Amino acid sequence: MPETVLKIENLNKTLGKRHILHDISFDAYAGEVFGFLGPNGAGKTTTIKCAVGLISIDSGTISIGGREVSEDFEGAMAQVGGIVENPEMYKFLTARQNLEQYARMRDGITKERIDEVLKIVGLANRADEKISKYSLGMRQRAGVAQAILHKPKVLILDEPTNGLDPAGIKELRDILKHLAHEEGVCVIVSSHLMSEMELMCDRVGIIAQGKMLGVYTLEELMNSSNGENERYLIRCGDAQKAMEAIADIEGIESTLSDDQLEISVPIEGAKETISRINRQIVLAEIPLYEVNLLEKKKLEEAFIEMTGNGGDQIG
Amino acid sequence: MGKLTALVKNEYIKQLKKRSTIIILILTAIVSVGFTGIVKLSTLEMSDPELDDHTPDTSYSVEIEDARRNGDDTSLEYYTFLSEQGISTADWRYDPAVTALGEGSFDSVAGYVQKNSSEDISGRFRDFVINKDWKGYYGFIKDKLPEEARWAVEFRLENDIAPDENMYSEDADWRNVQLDQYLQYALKKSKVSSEQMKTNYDDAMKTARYRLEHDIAFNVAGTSMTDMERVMYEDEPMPTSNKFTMWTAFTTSPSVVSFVGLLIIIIAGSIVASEFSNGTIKFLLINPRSRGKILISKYITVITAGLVMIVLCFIVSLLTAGLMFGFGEAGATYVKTTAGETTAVPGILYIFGQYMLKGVYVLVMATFSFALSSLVKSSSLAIGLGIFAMTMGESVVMMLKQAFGIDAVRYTIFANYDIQSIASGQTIFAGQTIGFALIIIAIHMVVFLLTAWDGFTRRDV
Repeated sequence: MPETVLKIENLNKTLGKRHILHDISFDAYAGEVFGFLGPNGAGKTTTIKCAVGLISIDSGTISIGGREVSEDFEGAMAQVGGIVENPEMYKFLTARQNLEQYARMRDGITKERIDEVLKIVGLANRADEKISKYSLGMRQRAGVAQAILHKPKVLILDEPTNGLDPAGIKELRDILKHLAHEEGVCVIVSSHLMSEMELMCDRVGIIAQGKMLGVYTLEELMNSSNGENERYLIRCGDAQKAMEAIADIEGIESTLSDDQLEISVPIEGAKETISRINRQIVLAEIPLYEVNLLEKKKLEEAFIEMTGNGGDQIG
Repeated sequence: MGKLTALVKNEYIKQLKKRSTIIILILTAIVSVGFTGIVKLSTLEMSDPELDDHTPDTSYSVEIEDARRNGDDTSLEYYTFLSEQGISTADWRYDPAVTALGEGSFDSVAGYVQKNSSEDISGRFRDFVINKDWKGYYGFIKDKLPEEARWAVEFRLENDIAPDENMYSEDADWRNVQLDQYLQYALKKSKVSSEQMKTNYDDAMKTARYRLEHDIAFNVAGTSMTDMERVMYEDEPMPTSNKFTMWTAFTTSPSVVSFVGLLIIIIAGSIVASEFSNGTIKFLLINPRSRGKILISKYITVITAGLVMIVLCFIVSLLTAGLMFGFGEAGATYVKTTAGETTAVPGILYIFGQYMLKGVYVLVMATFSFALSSLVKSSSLAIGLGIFAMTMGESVVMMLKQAFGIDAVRYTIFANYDIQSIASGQTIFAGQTIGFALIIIAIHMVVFLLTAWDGFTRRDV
């Protein structure tokens, strides 16, 4: 059993009259990338802000590396690094000067360590340029450098891929995976995109409307989202006719979308059902182009389903 | 302690890397230089009093001519005597001479002696004048002067200080001015009935006596531009040096601190609020340093930066005044007597003290802006309110007091923060004391700082 380095228990937070967080509880372990997933406005950022002491909590406990944030703030903060919302640094200072600022606020950070983190995030060549000259992607990298400067046990990144180009996202993913899997850091990444979580997280905690819906490993999430049915997309010459041609097959559901046919097939005997569907369309003399399994889309949809289409319910 | 030092260092780096801070520092220096420059310009317009009457008239040709034409024998005899003896109005013999000739004023020393003598002493005076026998003259009048005046005469005789035949000449002895004034004040004091005036004359005498006993040729007190104007146009009992020196500008320069105050408010008003408006507050607060420490480090930065700027002003003003007027009197002493107590400090130290007293007012306003800065997220609001309070506060209080007669405003901070003015007795309210002002200031400082602390440490970011 890996060490629990972030422990949140029964966290409640009210802002004005709005109850933002309801009894949030979860643990995150050393050596894993923990995804904190939820639609916009679900309470991800609020939870993260509570964890790093930026906002006060109404009830509950948050401990980082065994130190409780509300009791031993300095002890807890010494073990956490993070980016909350946008990576805003002092624009009139260079990246290196910014890092020197943070180095003086943390213990035991050498000049060599600053050079090292600049190299890790790929800013070594442009470290002496002012932040005001940086693109959003470069600021994000500088933010990561700031967060990992003191080798924290817990690294919390709020929507870290914002503003990064695809190559940058890939690079960041690799850095985070390396930190977690090779160096034993507990990396917590928040996002509203399931697809992003899939690519880097070991476990995912899902939050919607201020409530924790559950924490799952990636496999659990895949399996549960698969459920009883698999879905396929069929492209053929005449979708309407094809739908009629397969109408007599039992247990399947078909829907028309954009001249394509989407069908839901029970997992039980799915292969036989699909070959039957294939045959009947061909026999009806409708040109059949392709049949595709819609696995990925289903995971994303499962998430939307779980979070109650939360994106529409902000506020 | 090390943690706090590192935080303060961070704040200083942030401030110094901002272009606005550099502009502020340059402005501070420019204003200090400019202020001294303006004083220098205005002294060029005023005629240097020392240059007047360098060679006083001893021929009295015009007066003698007039007397001849008018057939005025008394005047003719009078001016002819002065002319023959070569006695100008700047000569010590002038007073006994005119007294002997029957024109003595009751206000002058010789006049006083003559009017208070039962016998006619004109002959004696005439002999002293003709023989230039100052020792005889002073020995003669000593016992006929009021008790209090006698010290000056004794001092003169003991130290063998010859009076000047031309008090305006380059080699005139500064001690003569002080000795003469001492006598004048002693005579005036014996005549006035007002207690206040008696005290004023007594203070002036004590100052003169201190300078004479300690051989202080130049007194920094009373050398400011305003003091010089007062002495030139009014007959106030204030011993002063009647020439323009570096002190003419330097003693007035503490008012530059008010301008520094405005610049400090800009720093104080933005040091917390700008972290919010730039979004950098989140990276600042997720470090293993408590919010209390961060706030304290910011306050220390404001206070020490203010101190540094005031000292910068002081040094720049001192150097500029010295370069413009000459460093000749830089080592002069400040001697002043208030209510019988004589204080003497090196002039430079005295002016530094004035800067620090003005600094109290800057401290209060900077703390006010700092507290606002911790409460509102907008730097401009904190700066704006701070500057408004600093520049308008006193005027509003003065208006409420003078136009509406509301005396309760004396308890407000604006009636009390200018410790330097209160110390020098320039107050809006009667009976305003330094002790009272300090209490009001302390209460406000505590309230400002507690507000800042509470607002900053508990706030959701």
